[in-house]
Amino acid sequence: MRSSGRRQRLTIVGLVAICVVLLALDSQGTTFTRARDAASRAFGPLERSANSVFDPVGNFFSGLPDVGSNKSKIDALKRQNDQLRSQLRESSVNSERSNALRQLGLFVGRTQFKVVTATVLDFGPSLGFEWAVRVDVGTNAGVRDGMTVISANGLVGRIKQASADTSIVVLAIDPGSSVGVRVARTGELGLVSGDGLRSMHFTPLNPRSKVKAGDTLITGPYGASTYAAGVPLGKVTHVSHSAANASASVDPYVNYTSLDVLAVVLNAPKPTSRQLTTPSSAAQPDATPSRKAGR
Amino acid sequence: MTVRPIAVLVGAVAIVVALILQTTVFSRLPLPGNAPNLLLVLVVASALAGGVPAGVGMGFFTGLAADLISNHPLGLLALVFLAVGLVVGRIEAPSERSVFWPVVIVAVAAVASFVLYLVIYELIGRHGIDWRTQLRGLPEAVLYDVMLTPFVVPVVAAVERRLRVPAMR
Repeated sequence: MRSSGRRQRLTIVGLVAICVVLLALDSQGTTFTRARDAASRAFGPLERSANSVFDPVGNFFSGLPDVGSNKSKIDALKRQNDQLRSQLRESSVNSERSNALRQLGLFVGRTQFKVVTATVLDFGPSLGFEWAVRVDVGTNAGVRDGMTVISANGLVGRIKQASADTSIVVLAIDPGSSVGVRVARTGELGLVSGDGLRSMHFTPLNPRSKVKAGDTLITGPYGASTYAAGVPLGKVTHVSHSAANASASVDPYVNYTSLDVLAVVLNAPKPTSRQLTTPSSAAQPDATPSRKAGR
Repeated sequence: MTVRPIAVLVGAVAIVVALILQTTVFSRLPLPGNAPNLLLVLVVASALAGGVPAGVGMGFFTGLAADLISNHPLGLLALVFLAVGLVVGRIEAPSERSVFWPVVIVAVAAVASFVLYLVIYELIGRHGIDWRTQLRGLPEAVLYDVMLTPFVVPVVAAVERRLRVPAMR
């Protein structure tokens, strides 16, 4: 019994010594990679198969605390989802608007107009005019009847009736509207009248004018026009010559059914500052998609 | 005192099973605090049932096996569990046929092994442990270990009785 007790003590001391040696070696940098690898190789498959057995158990236990709250959690997530979705929509609208504003700024910078920006409130014949929109600026912002309204792409229309905080804008495509224009290439004058969503009609002052398809029309001082000069209006798409006079179809630069960010021109530019500004030089990036959308 | 080969085999199987249960179930239970330590309970139960030889042997090899599949230095848990098995094995006598003492011993062993682990860890110059967090999770872990005790201790005791060398009794 005594000898077995001594052997036991020796064994214990030996095992402790092994532990200490292992610890010392490990902390000295020996990482026992091989032994650990072998252990993982032996243990890994056992653990994996055990996992496949016990995972449902673990999932069950980890699900237990949530049993009551899962439904409310799902509801909360759904709400959040809807919120995020609407935010996403809003942000895309906002980015479009900021883009429009930026281009409007570029355009206005070229024309040296003094403008107040406006946003379309509502749209359509319900206002009493056939083609008109209501914008969110009025006399409080310096808007007066007859002022020109533009967008980044070109001419939109003219203030018909300015209230304190809102104004009604008659669009240039209204059948009752006629705009004095100038052919940018030749400087010839003429009148453009609206026809709703159909092409506008250009009637040159000179029946023998050499207007061509592709010519750019800008607003110009003709007749009783009160439009600010130098605003691009549209492009001639088709010219028909008859004996009496020439007429042409005009494709407007502005897409009148998607008006949003506009600007009211507060000052008519002085003749010296008038320049030919076209979408191709001022607001080309936006002009292309909006024309595409119009077709 | 001789150790029968069958006892070694049973001990080895017990260690492997305990390791698997520990890594796949107990370490992953979504319980607050630190995880329950089945290995520690196994070592304590072995020492209670088989005395110092069983406690030291099971402690050393259980710890070594756990060290091999863990990240901490090799020999760390082996030393800790060896110490636990040695100390618990010496107080074998009063624990027979009692539920109360194994529970107290497991609780004390859980705290002591934790402290010993941290001390050795610091002694060999490693400082990677966030011991404050570990310490905060200790009471729960002790509680879980205590709850495991009534399941593990009787089973180990029964197995040990069957393996006991007939000549001893």
